[in-house]
Amino acid sequence: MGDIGGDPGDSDGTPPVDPLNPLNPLNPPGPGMPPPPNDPVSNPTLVPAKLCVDNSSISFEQQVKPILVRNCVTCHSGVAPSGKFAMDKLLANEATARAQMDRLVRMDERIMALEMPPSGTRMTNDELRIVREWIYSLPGEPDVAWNGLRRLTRTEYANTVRDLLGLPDTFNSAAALPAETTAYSFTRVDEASNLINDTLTKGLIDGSIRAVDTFFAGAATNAAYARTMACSRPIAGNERACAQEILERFLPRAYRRPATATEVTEMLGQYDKTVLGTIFEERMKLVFQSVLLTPSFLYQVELDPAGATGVRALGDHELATRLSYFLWSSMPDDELFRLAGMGQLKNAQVLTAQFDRLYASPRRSALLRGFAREWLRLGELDNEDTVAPALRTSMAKETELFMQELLSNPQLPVARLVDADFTFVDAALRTHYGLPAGDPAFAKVPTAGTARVGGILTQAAFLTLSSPDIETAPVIRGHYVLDNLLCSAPPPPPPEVESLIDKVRNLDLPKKEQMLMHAQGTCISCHANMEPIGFGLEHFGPQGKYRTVEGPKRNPVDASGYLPTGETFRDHTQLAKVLAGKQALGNCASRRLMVYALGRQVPGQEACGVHQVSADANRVPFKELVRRVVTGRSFRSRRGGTP
Amino acid sequence: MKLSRRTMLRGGGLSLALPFLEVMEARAQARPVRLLIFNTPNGFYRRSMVSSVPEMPFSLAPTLRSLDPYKSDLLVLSGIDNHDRASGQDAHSPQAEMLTGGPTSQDKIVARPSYDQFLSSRLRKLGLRRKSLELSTRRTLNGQASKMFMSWTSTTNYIVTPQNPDPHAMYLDLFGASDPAAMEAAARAIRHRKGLVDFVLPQAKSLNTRLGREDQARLAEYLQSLTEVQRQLALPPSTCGKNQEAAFAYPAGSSLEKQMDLIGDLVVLAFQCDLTRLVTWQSDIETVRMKYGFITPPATLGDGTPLDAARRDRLKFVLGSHEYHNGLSHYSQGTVDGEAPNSPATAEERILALRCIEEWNTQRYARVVGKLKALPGEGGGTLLDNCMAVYTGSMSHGATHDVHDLPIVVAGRGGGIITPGRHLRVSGGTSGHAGSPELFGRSGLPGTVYAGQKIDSLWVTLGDALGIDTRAAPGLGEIADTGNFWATRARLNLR
Repeated sequence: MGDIGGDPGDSDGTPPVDPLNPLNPLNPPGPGMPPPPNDPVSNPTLVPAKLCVDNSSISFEQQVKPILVRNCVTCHSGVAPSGKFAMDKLLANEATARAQMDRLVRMDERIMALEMPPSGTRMTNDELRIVREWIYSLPGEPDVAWNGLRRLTRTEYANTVRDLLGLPDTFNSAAALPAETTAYSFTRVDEASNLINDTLTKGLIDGSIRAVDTFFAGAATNAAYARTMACSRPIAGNERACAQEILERFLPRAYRRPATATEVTEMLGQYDKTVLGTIFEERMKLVFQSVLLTPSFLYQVELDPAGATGVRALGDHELATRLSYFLWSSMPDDELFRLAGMGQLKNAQVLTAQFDRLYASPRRSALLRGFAREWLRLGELDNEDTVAPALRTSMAKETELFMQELLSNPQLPVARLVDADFTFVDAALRTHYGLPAGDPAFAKVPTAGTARVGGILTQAAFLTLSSPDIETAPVIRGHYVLDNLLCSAPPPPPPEVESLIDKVRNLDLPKKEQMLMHAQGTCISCHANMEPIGFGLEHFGPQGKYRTVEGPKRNPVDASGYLPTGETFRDHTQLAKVLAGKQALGNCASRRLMVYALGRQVPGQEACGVHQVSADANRVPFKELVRRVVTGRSFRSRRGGTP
Repeated sequence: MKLSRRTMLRGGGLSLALPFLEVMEARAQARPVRLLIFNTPNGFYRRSMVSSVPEMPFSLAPTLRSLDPYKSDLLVLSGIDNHDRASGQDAHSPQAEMLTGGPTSQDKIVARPSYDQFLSSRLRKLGLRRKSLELSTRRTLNGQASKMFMSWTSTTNYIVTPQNPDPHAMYLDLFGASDPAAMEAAARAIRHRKGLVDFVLPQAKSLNTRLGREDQARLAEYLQSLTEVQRQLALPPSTCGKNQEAAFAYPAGSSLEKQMDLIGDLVVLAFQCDLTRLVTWQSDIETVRMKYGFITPPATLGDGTPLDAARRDRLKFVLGSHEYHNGLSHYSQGTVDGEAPNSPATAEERILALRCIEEWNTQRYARVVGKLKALPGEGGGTLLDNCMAVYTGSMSHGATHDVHDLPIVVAGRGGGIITPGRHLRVSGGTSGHAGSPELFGRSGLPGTVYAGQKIDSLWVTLGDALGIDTRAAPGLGEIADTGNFWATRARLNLR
């Protein structure tokens, strides 16, 4: 990703710490404060920008370009533009700029995070409003980005095989598949899920054989077996006709779409060529195993009509498939197939009703596992081998139950993610948190008046996985929050600061003093965003226990601070309120949800699609966000062809 | 100035180049040469693998003490750089850059498929049981991403190691079962699988015609893999390497050391049986949360530093209970004294712990080298004589994420292409210093100053020993041409 955060102008030396630098996170806020925050939530006196409406009356040449030239182009131009982000070329004319929406959005994000322009030269709120309204001008419907072929993840593959063949929950056809990785936070994003190697291919062959053998060995439910293998006439004497009849029912379910006559005929070729005995079921085994190895089964395929270009509405079966994999991590059920077959699902009311039905089902727990766990990186707790495994399990479970509640309870808005008056604890966590003894099993408990009022921020899972082993690292905690909850991760430190990385730190000092080197030079533009959040959580030790002193010398914790956007806080309880009020939180939740739903990255050209999901997102329940994603244009249509 | 390969061929390179490669190919066919690339993560404490600069005689760095018995089989290289990461990329992304010719775009981790995968695709025609093996010891990959992996079949498809970290399962996969009943069952299973793949492959290809170009490329990865699996299934059962199943027993809960050593044994056996000619082995991936508490610190470190019992206990604690390998590699980030058992380690303790890890890694490699040397090779001599076993990391100095002047050891004679028993300094300067202008001033990449020789030159040279012209690799060939390939060829005189 591009780096426009660095400011090479400062890189020729390390200027001394400026005690009056208002962006120095180590200084208390004072008269030298930056202008009021640009966040209308925390500063209601601002005229908020009207984004993603028809703002075409704003003149690029007369209004927008002069502002950006004045604020940005001095550094971001020429042969060596600052951060390798050349704005002189970007701003050549309106068409050139519009064609690079990704870069405009990146620019906007840096400005909104107050990283740019560098301290002392802030844009005024009016300037910012004009620029943003021009960037997010939407005369028509929001754009849709390119959608490619996507392979099913381990979980999706295992669930689909089970549902297709009616196998028991305990059967895992993905057992021999290699480990998975993530892209844009999720394993289901195409760039991660499409990875192939020979071990994977062998694992898929193994999975198809074991699954079908298990099906024919009597493990499938009677209903599933009967329905799959039913034939309208006696099989004996009509073997080939029955094979065809069975395939005509089986293939559409396996491919999640109607199968063509050619596809059925081709697959019957396996029945015909099979010489492994003449037993009907032995032949059908090979046919089914072959089906489970075809790309149409293994991939989510959306075929475009020949020669089609641009954006088109999804067909009913494509929509059913997207919906069920999004919410259930598996193939569509009978009801979805039925509605898709009748061409009903494109109807907005039917789609919403089906969304409600799928969302109300217990199978929606797949969203918790696929989306919430990966979004919050709970899997990384497995690496925390200095925490007792049982406690680790409890930590993960707390956050899972909490997220389950957020996803389910219509009374809870998205902002509760970081500002909640309840959590879930069992005996181990009660002890860990120093709460009074109670129900040994997990139970929902009120937390008002305790330290645990920051939602996931004050839960042991996040506090542990964002810390090195024996002492906290405010930078890592701050980075986690910016990256995962506010979607404004600072870029990695530029190569030229590498030599500073190993500067000797005196661990005896209070931690804020150890971090002084981040409050200067090139470093501050990013670290001023990270550190204050991390320091605000310093009352929680590396495994999330509450404390009043930190470090080996037991220095008193000072959890107060303020953000570059101007908000001050005394400790984590106030920090939680500040973060819960940030529009970026709702934007970020919406963006991550879209990435997960679409299984691909969501580039700048879709910013207004995200905006439609995220409007007022902090104040609506999660289910509403999910519904907006499903009914949004990006989910219901696709851009095929070539990216 | 950009020197294309064509230009070089016209300008006198021709008389040198083509006959040379033909000779190499003929040689590789007569005496099969094997390449192992063994990579350890998070850089090194000491940059260098030699403790003295002069080329001969040389003494090995203290952390390489376990390689002393094989000193006459080692070529130690210095003055070779990995690629700098692009601005905006993570400091540990050089692991992905090492074999892919470095970054050219900020939007992608790698710009090209990796050398090893190009070699692998060319080695396929030899018809061996595996065109290559990509190994690792990792079990979980929570949150890890593309920058952690060396081997890329395309700019979007990288091989997520471990493919299968259970050495016993790997043995069975490569060599098959031994007892007659199991062999019969395995033969049936192979026929069954081959029947499936033979049938599915043409059908899978038919979907291709209905997809856009980019989607075709995505599906091609699966089709290529199916084709390779089909090829493997069609091979007659291996006769070499049988009846060793017991030696690869790997009960659940076995130590990482056992896992590493069994994988090393598999590499040796795979080379011995000529099952493959190419192995890439990442002992671990960058920044992974890996602790080395299972290491027993030695009574004396490689440089003679004695460790008393209390020190060893403390180091064992530091290795196991404190920080991950990456945390230790940034050894200066602590200065408190380490009296209390739960206090952070001192910088000195971290360095000692790092040296324990490096000595341990070297022992794993030395064990493989020793075994290769103990086996007979084709054309007389030892199996090691027909190997090129490379030991390196993607960073030279972990603490500063420095990728320049990588420590590199190559064991073996590469079938005669290498004269070992020496230290070859490929570029003159130390890290950050430009080498001699006549060699390094011709960089074809605008704005690039080559401090040392880029590692591409090494892969191209080793590719030659396998009889494969790596400059034909898409994208990578240009790197070799526009970089300093020809100049390096002169300097990288391994003979």
